[in-house]
Amino acid sequence: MGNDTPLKERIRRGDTVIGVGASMTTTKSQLEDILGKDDYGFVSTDSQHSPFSEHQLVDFCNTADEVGIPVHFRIKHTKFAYLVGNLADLGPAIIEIPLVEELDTVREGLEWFYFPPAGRRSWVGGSRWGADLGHDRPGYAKWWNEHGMIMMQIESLRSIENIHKLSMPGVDMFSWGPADLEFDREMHPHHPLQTDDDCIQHVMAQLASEKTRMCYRSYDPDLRNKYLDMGVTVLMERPK
Amino acid sequence: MGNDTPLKERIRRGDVVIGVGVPIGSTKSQAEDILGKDDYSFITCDSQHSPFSEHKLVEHCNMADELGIAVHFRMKHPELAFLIGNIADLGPAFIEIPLVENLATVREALEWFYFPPEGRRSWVGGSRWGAELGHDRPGYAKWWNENGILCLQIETLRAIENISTLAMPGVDLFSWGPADLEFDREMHPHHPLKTDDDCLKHVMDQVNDNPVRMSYRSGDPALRNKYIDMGVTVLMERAK
Repeated sequence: MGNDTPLKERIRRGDTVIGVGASMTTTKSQLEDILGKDDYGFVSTDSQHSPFSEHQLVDFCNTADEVGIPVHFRIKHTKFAYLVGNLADLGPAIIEIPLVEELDTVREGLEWFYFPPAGRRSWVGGSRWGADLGHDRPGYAKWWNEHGMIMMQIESLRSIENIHKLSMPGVDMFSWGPADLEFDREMHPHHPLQTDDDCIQHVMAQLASEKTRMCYRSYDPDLRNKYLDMGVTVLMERPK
Repeated sequence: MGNDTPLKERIRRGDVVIGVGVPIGSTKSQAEDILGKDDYSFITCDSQHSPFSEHKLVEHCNMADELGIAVHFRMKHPELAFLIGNIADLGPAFIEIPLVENLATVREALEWFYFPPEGRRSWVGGSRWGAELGHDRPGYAKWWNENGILCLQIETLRAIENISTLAMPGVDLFSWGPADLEFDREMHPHHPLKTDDDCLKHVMDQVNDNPVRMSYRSGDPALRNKYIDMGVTVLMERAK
């Protein structure tokens, strides 16, 4: 369930946290096998590029809950940023919005992610992370606002150029989309940031004075130190 | 899988191409029976007027893949045009947006249907059409941009009046919605285009000046020649 896991706090203070990918159809025993191979802080699942069923997300979050690991979930599309609160009702602890470029998307994501007074997430779904905390509305809202995590995926040079503005209070992490960023770099061959590493170094320099942390989909556990050395503190890997 | 089938090229050059309805949920043997009755080039399925499950679409596309036939899929609503790339991640070769009237819808569809540099479809889902081509990002992106087929459904007098504007580069074909168009004609009894055939002839005159082709949901195979004689080259029929 993750209620006892101050994951947001660990991420915020810059602890190294490793997430591991799993399909929403993963069974409890498969998930236990995956989690048994390293010290993972969360399990990561996706709807952007995979078939999505809200019921399946609830089932997956319940399974993760039983094994005591928080769920990270990437939503389908930037334009569904307004749905982050509804999706949070289904059980994830970390929600990622893909392809973020605009300040309006960040504002919308924050507005619907946090409960009032920080935002305007609506009260509430029975499958939410931390449902066992009960029906104390102000208490749960405070708990969620202190524990739920929101992540914006950076996948274009435009986002990189605007990273400082996108780093609004309430954004816990940025994540990285190297494939889509590569498309964008190919379309801008004369941009001063020529490589993925150039881009990430540029972003890390901008974020040095910010509270927002950086997460990288490194997949290969052998790449862990490379990105940690660059200042990334949260990694998403494939299972070992 | 359709990788060897230059369906887009056949449509673009004006070959007569017949698709046949095979609803999502059909079994492989049911689909084989349907496909055995004529020389069909694609199967067509719908979410606009049918319950939709992303997982069922993936299963349907996998089944079609085993039979070597491309899948046409009609999306739920024009307001969801931005989801067309995510839908493409689930396996269709050919995606139709219903009720298109506005240039903004066409632009949005083009933006999310094609990979960069033509568009900004995000890389990518494992259930995509042509997944066996592998993980060569630029290679698959080029392949998709040359093989994925985009269709816009014309169902109002307003769309017909704007057809030349809607025929933007990248739109492969228009389709026709005679029932909704009839509602619109009934609401505009003094419009110069009085019948479905009047409307279709008017559109064909304009479409013939563009590389965009016209498809018609003729349903009845006995109507095939009527629409081919009017210049339609792609027909969607019900199973014989």
